[in-house]
Amino acid sequence: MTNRKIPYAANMVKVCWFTTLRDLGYRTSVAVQNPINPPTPRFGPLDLSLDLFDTDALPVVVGLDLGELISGGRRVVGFDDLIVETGLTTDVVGILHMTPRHLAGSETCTVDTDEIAAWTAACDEFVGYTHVASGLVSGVHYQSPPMNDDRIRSSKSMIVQSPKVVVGDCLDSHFLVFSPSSDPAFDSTVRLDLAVLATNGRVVARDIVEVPARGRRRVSVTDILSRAGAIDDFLDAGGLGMLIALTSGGVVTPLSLVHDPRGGLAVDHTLPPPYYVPWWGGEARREAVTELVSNLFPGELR
Amino acid sequence: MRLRRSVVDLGRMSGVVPRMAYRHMFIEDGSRHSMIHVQNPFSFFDPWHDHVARAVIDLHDHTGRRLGTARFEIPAFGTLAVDLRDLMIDRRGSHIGTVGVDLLPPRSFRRHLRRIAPGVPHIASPFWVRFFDDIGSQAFVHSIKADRDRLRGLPRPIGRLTLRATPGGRWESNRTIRLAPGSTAVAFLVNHARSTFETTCSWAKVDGGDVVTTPLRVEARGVASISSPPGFSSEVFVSVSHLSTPNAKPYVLVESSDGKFGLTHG
Repeated sequence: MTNRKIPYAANMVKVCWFTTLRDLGYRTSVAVQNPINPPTPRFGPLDLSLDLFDTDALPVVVGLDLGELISGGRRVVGFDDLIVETGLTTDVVGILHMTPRHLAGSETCTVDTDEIAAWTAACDEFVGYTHVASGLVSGVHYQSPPMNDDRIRSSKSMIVQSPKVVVGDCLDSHFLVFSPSSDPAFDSTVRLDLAVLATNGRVVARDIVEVPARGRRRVSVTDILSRAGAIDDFLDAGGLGMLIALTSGGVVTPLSLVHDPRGGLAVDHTLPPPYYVPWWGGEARREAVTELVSNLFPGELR
Repeated sequence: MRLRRSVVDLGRMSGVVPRMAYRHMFIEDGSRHSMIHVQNPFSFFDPWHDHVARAVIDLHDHTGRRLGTARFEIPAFGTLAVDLRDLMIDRRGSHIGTVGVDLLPPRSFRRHLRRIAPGVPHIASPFWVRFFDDIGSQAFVHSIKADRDRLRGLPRPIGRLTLRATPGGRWESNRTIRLAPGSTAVAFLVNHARSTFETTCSWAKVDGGDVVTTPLRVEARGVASISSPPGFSSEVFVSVSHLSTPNAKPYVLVESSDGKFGLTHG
């Protein structure tokens, strides 16, 4: 990405997008650090603030001040008590803003895209999920780069591949997605075409999920298989396989879960195809995706 | 640089596709188990043909001693899920070790890659390990790093010469772990380099109090574990004075007082 200066919301330069898992019985927290190695010469305190969006992506908390994080400082920020205070009984999508002090105080700023990239890469955030009943802690590290933002990235589609579907013996796999955007004007609904594949590569079930901008969806693989009448055969074959999703209209943050009602939660992000063949892109990617769509989702209009 | 260029030229002529084999830790101690999940990634790059992937899986114990190797075929768009107990000769043993996965493409897929790649293509084989037990724990962690001993798919001396085993630098976790009383955290450090490495691992309290540092010696393809000190029941984090290779950060298991566990990257 070539560096250039762009107008940008000051509080979006360094953020962590997350979603909660109250519907599965977990409390959510984010562990943040003000990185010791400064990504910019203007390194200093970060001002923390919070936005929350409900299931319909409507804002329920905007710009809640959470204090400062000094250089080298650490915080674990929990959200569930706050959500209860709002009266919400559902899950939320949140943005934990970590605004560099030199940018704070102004709504918009002019910033180098390199500086945004440096802040994004400066540290991963850890989104932790604590099972209310057992106290068991799970979680996942990831970064929150600019997404669904034509000023920075033009990608309107992505391939999600999750070769870790496990169902049976009380276990279920879930696909948890939310649709972040660093562009306040972004309001597109992202469509996901999902396919569940058996270990032999055969498609056994399909589904469609629509995610509004800043919205969240969680889908159970058992439910997808049951609706397709494929659950019994899938379980007989061992209950293992892969989930593939193709998005259109935008991109999402995809998390795959394996959930045990006794508290266990295997949660991780997915790895897109370039992790396997690093240089893949351009015309080769476009042609392959077109073929993938016709293979995996025959008859679908996209 | 000249050598690397000649390898690229050689690759163009010979049709090789160098491979990066990823490595991960596993636990098999009688009550905690590990299952690897590998996909056939080739289908996504060439969905017009049914390329079968061959997976070579090797197991090493914590000292880096080879426990065994197994080979599987994964059909197009298929996945492989293997409970590592099924690969253990001594299923009664207690093992913490590493598992490596090398995905071999068929000749037809190599031809496809060479046709669409701008240079000599190379491929990688990241995968997942699911850790679980019988009392309700579940954890998924993807392999973070490939072996840096050599590039597969090339004659061994060339594969070693063309892959630099760059040492990693200091690393400190961004994650703050809240350890409840009775809980323990254990960091696992894998050596992805081609030779033994020595480092130190520290558990520190966030409030600026105690720091407990342990020297470590980890053999190639081995893994070392370091528990948080007794009494560290507060907010803690782990750091390593230097990693075996860049980004070869540790895995961290947090065990609660009832024996259940979660496991993530550090």
